[in-house]
Amino acid sequence: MTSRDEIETLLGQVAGGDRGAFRRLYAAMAPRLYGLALRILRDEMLAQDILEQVFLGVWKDAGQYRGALAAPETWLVTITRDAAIARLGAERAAGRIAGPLDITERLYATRPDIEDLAGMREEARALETCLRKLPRARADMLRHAYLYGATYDDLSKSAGTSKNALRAAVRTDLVQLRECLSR
Amino acid sequence: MNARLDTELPGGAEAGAAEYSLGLMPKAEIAAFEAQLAVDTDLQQDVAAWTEYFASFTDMIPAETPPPQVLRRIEGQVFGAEERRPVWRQVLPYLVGALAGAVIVWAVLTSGLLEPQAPALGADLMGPEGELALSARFAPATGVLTVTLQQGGAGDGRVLELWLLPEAGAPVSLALLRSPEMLVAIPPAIASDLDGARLVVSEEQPGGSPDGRPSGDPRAEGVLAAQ
Repeated sequence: MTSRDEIETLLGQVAGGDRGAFRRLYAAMAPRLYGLALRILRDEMLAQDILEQVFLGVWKDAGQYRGALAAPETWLVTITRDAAIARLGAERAAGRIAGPLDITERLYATRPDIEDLAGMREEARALETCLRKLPRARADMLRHAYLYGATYDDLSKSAGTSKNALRAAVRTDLVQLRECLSR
Repeated sequence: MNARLDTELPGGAEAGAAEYSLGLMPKAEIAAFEAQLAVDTDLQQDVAAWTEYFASFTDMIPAETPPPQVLRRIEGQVFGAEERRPVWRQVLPYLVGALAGAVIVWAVLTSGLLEPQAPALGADLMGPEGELALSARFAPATGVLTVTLQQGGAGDGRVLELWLLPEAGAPVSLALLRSPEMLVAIPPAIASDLDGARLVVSEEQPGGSPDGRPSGDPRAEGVLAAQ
């Protein structure tokens, strides 16, 4: 994997219009971002569209990246995730993709095994460790929201509870999660 | 941040930052939250921290190599048409615009007056059911193949791709037929061999064939012959 510093340097060069750096950045990051878009959208054409959209945006907006607030990979992952989730929402609204909580997604959203934790980077390990202190079903809801764009409406329907009660419970979880992560 | 909601819901702005980063914040609350975010550095730090943590949900997702045409499409858009592909290696003809078309007409007329030329070649490309029909005309003086759609077209979200099928060797992609009339510049290396050449039109995904070969059965085909 390309290091954080390398990606950051490449982003800086891309912001300056360096085409070689753009190709190197693509080579370093496109497989991860395409894998992510493909997982969210589960459609190669849609995922390719997202990758195209993300890298066109990177060429235009690499100068917007602020290293103080996010790791460069996180910035790219977040842009890709947001674009893929927005597209998923549009496809669902148009009835071209099924709802967010079908059985396949339940399978995909399974949490990592306990033995996987050791191999994770620090943030991932801390998050997984703290998520395990929450009720399992609600910890999985956070994954569903991030990876599949599930809304409180979707989640409360699936859980059979009222939206307000669920939101209050999730927000309480998030405060608990934050406390756990700050330790 | 909507103060009224914060007093009703547990967690306050801290939980709001997490909801925002997760994409769980209801749409109606986002604008107010972002207005607060723009001026509140603590909140920015919170959102940044959550973003970093939640992005780690994606760490376990396997990387997948995107097909090469995605980078070609991206580079075509960011670097401009001149770098879209190495022309002589990929044999992708550049697509000549209307203005260039006028110049070519002039070139045909002038060169026709100055020296004898090989005869023009033409082909009618027909689909098996006649639902798709195109005509192609090659002017040796200019090396330009003019392809005109007579009838039919690509399916929704699809594109027609024109191929040259040599008697031996791999198919050569000549152009994506995105408009009813296309002018395709044929590289000199293959322009001399076009008499009797087989042209095929396939239907492809929007970026063209993913594997450099026509997909599926030909939608139309024909053979170039002297006219």
